[in-house]
Amino acid sequence: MNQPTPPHRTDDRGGQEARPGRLARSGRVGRWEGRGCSWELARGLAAAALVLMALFAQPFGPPGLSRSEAGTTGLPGPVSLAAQVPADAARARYERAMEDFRQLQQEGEQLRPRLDQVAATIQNYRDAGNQRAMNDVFLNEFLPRNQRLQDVTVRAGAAKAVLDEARREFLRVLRAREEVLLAELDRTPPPSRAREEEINRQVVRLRQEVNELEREREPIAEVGFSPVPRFDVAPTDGPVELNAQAAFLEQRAQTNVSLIILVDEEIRVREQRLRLERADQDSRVGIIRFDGDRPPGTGPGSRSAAGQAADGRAGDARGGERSFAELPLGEQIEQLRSVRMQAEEARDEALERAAQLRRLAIVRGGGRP
Amino acid sequence: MSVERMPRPLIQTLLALLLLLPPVGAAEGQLGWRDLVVTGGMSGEGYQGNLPSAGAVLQDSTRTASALVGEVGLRGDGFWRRNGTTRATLFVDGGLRQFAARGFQQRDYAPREWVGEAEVTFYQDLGNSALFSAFTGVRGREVQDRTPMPLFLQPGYMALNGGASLRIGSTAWDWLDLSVSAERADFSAPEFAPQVRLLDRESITLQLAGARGLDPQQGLDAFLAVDLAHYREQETFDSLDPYRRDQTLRARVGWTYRGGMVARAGVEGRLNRSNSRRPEYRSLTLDGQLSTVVFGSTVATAYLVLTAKEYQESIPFARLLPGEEANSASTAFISLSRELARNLDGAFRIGWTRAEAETGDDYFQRLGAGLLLTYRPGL
Repeated sequence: MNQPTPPHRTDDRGGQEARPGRLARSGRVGRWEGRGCSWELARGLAAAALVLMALFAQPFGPPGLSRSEAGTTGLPGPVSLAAQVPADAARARYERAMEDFRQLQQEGEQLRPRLDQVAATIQNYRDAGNQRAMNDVFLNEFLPRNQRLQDVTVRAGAAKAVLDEARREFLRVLRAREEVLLAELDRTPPPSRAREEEINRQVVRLRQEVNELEREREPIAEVGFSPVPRFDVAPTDGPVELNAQAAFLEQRAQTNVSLIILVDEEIRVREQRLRLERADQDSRVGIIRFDGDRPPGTGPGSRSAAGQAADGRAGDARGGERSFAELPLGEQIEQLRSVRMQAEEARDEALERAAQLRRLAIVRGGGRP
Repeated sequence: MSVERMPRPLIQTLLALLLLLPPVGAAEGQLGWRDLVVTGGMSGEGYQGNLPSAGAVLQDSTRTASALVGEVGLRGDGFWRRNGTTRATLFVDGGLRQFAARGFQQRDYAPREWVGEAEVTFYQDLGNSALFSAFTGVRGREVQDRTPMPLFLQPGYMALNGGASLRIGSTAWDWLDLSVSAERADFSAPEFAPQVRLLDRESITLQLAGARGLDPQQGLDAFLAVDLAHYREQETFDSLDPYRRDQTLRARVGWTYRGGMVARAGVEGRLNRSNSRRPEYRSLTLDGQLSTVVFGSTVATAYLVLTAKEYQESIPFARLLPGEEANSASTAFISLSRELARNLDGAFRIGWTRAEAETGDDYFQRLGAGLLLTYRPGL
């Protein structure tokens, strides 16, 4: 763990005796210094400005936030405004966001191996020539899990954005708090020694927290469609190990090839069904559009509220999660195309890495087994 | 055609359509079209059966007539989605049909039909097993240079409707839907044919519908409905109950199959009772539709509606008004469609209609063949 910036002695108010253990702004000089302005006047103006800004900032904050919380929303404003926000509120918001993201990440991590397992089952059924079982597993197990993973991925993306924003806000609040504490050290008359030591301890804690938050800026593993395993090649890996890794990747690529073939067939079936449904719909509309022999609202083929619902127009008005089969055909096709694209990418990536490993195996003295 | 020359009901319909159309780009990612279809086509049609029509402005002695018909149309099925859930849908449909009619004794007619329809529906999820929806819509049509029989063209009208429905999940059915709707239709009568206004009406419909899947590919649907209609221009000659009021009970059972082909079949019965004796009847309609891929991307569609009708009492004078014959129309229709280019389909179709004119048990017929192009931009 990095240690916070060590305290150093300074006296930036000219002439006043520097006292040991006093923390100060790192290399910064007070804004009003050297201009002949009274420090007390500056503080008074700053306080007035602060009150005014706090008053005006509230209406523009997100609904449901208290005045103090509104300062944590990332609205442009002076650091001193953020300093008024209780660090606990920003911390709580950050921790909530982190928890939400971690939950989704964990859910994705649990879903991925299951999806891989189902893909392997599909491959096994394909090898065994059991078309019915293969389609059954694909439609009832692979697609719902993949849909769930896609959903988790999208939600994790949104949660990550919320987390980043919460982290930025928390950092801003901590730094502002540090500024306030340092300003207290610089105050005239200076604080008591006990207070000064307390301030020093607080600043150290703040800087530790800032460092930890900064480190968490490191990329957090994203969730998503079954990623291709990335083998770390050790310098001691010989041709046998490298070829084994390559063979594993080639097998993964083959699983994706099977998946692509299956998806292509499912897309073909649905495109045909969509064509049929559109022909069916176009025919009916062609008959009733000009209403040549029907009064309004009567006769066969007339539309009604229940009729529309039966046509599926209300199908996705229901809340909650819908199964793949409940989606309109157009959306099913789009999802399948998305699965196909991801499977293609996974196949290409696996083959590319396998080829690299094979080449490396040759370089390290072994031919292809 | 200038705006000044456009029919007033049509202008009203177009304005209503514009008001209902979602503003493009108003909420990115929230608004979209599930289906958007532009159609255009030509057809040739023949008509037979010179039957009297109270709603026709002119009379002509010919028994047969023909027409070359050109048409263009636009249909859209839009949605507004929030948080992944559809909150509202918009259905719009409109078209223009231009006839060049031949075979009449008096002169050659060139009727032009404008039709437009828009309906917006709002949805509200009520927990996991109930969905409330409310809808409102407008539809209208206008006909210029309307022909005498046998080329029957429905007179122009403007209809407003609205209603609400509650859909619930059920153990025996996938869903049950209870809806109530109301409609008001006002026909536009030429100055010298005020009798067309006899068709003006207000109606309320109460309907219970349901659907049940038999397996992933096929399902049943059914409804039971009661229509209460009030014809405010039709007198009964009974001072105690002076205007015509009808009560119609309708029930239907249908079957749908969606697999390697799309097939539908159904049977619908109607029982109409009125405070006026003339329109009391019962009828039974059988309908079926089949769409299947015959080769490559070519889809064959067949559509058939057959209706049998029986009146409560035999009254030897005109008892129907133009437009009411719909309940007894029989239609057969065959089309072959295929993809001509990306997003562009072409279809050849042959259609036959046999519909009742205003005198009960008298029918006129229509036979036609045409080519239709269907374009789905960007979908």
